Amino acid sequence: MRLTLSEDQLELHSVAREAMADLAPLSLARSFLEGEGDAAALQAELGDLGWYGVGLEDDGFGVLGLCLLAERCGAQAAPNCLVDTAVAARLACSLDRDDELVGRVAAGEVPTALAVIEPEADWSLEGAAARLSARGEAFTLSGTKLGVQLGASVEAFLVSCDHDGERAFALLAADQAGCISRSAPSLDAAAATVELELESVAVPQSRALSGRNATEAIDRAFRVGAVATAAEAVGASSAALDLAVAYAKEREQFGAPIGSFQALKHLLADAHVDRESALASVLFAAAAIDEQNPSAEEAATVAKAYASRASRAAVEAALQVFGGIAFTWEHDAHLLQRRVLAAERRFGDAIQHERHLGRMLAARRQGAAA
Amino acid sequence: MRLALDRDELALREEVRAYLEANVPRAEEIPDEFDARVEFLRGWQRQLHEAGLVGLSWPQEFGGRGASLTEQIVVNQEMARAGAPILVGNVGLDVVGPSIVGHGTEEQKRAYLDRILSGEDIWCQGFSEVGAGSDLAALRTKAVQRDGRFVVNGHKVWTSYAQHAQWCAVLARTDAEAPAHRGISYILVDMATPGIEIRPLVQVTGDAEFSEVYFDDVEVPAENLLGELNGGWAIAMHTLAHERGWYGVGRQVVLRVLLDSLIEDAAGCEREGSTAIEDPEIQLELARAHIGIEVLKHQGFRSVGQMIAAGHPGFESSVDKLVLANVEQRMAAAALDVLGSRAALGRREGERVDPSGWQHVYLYARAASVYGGSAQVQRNIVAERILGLPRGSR
Repeated sequence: MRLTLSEDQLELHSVAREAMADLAPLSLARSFLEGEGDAAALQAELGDLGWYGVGLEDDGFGVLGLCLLAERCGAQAAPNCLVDTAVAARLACSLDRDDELVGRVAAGEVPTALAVIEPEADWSLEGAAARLSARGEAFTLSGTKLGVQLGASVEAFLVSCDHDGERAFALLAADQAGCISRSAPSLDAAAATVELELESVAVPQSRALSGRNATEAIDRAFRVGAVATAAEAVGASSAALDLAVAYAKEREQFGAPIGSFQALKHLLADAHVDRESALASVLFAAAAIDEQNPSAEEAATVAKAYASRASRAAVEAALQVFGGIAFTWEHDAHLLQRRVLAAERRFGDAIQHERHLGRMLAARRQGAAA
Repeated sequence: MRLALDRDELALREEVRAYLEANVPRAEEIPDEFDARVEFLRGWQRQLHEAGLVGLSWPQEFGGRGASLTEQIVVNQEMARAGAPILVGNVGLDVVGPSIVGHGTEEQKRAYLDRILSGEDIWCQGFSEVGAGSDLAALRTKAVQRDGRFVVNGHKVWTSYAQHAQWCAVLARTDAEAPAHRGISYILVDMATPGIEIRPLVQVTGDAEFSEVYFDDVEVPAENLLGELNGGWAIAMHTLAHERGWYGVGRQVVLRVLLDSLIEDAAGCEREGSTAIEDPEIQLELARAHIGIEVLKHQGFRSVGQMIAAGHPGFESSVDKLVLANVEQRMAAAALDVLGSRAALGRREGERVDPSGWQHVYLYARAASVYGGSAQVQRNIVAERILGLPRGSR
């Protein structure tokens, strides 16, 4: 009943801090904003560091370790597919691991992007129009996917789709025939998003996840994704807050550092409360997943809902402290703001998770009364 | 990281749960009238103490069990979950006692601690004054040394339980020349001493939980000084951090119990043609209140981890206090939304939902951003002590 990181986890976090500051300075995120970004080198480095496999086996780091890394990715607004790859690895564990690609994805060896959003489908995974159709012993997949992170550099896509009216996922190699990716920059430029056009892409049975076992596996993997993405949002807002605090100590107006004025102190203090409490909710949810605590499902929902709102509040406070300067294109704060906004939405925004909880509370009451 | 309870903690939880199931007084047993309630609660604390369930984390030699912080939390949570009445000696247990453990002489520890645990002595905290609330160091109550005694003169306010207390922990100015923080001493005053006058103050909820206390030439033996002469400020700060460090973890269970009953009432309240619980907006409000209470718990667990690592509560406890105030007030506001048109009405005989209970919850929640150091003071602490922003004018 205590939320403290182990020595190993603390060490991991501190190594990650140094590595990311070195490999992904904010200038890397900025290069995407200028349309010149290249994520390949960082993607390879993270692979060499073994980050894609953290928390998969019993390595002592767990989902909590994954969250610590994601937090650092967020703090640098780094172009990365850490969380997507972690989710894909967990889903791949429910597929046939004798399949060469599946085996490598499940082992966390393949940088992978999730393809979920459609013109008329969102992170709730309801109503996907992308269709997985049987063709003989195998399937074909057709549809359109939006906002696929790092679509130009990942090696595989894990695509949400409909199969006979049920939620399903299909694993594709990025270079498969019929899998057409178009650069489609979005608010968080460093996410390097693409649109995918899928035209009768062949999917062997070994790479399709559907049927009864799928729902549970998807929920579990998405739980990990939601919590790690919440960590990424916390990392980004927290980094913006650090910049703002440093600025408030230096910038002088009315003959004094602006950080000595209570109006700004209270703004920054509230932002600090937001980031600390959001981090607490993330750590709790990650630990609950790692410990297979019965509260894990609810804790993940709480963390994603809370950290999404708190991270936005914190990053907005940070921007306010900078005044006009952070409203310029050349200032770095908005790189972090963009990451917060994007992470807020991935794996469901606050409203989606709050609604889910609200229905759960009402149903629980009715269950108790029945 | 360890969310699950270990074997000892589980065993303790079972022990406490079984005890409480058999012994928690029913609501109708507890007198409504405040004075009678205090006497009843004093008996309840004595009973719990005899069962070894008060002050678990206190040292064994002074009547505690020398238990870990997490074990103490297990007990607090079980008490809240069982709807057990509060411990009427909580100022002594959570605030003054730990300061005596930390700063008292052996004689003081022997004289006071056991009586705090048993509920024999109820303590009150003579800190705030009319002119010294958030700016506590501006306090003007004076203690002058004369013939081996302190002579105390002054006026304290917001003093909870003063009219029922045997003892008061008084912060008084003992050096008028020194800078504000360095001229204050922490003095233990027997409330039966001549010259003390108590005037109960009725709060917005209608309860008279606290009082004003007037000191007129009150003579206190020199050995009742806690810690060093003029060293009271540091002890008081330790005391307040302790209060804040503890409070959230226990309070979140109380709020959880309240939210459960609010959800229950939401099923019995009509709003715009359906029951409140079926209203999607109300479901969202309840979900947000629920999220807040959960996060208060998560934040509390994190602070406990830090407290265990550091051996004492740090400035982080101000973060907990700010989260608590937000969460408690949000929960109370959700209650008003659930009740809708009924929220301002009085209780009606035979009706399942009692608006006056929720009005009490709402009114009491306003205090959450004031007691133990206002939210504004907490923000100053976070900004200056944690974020390292420069001190400036207030």
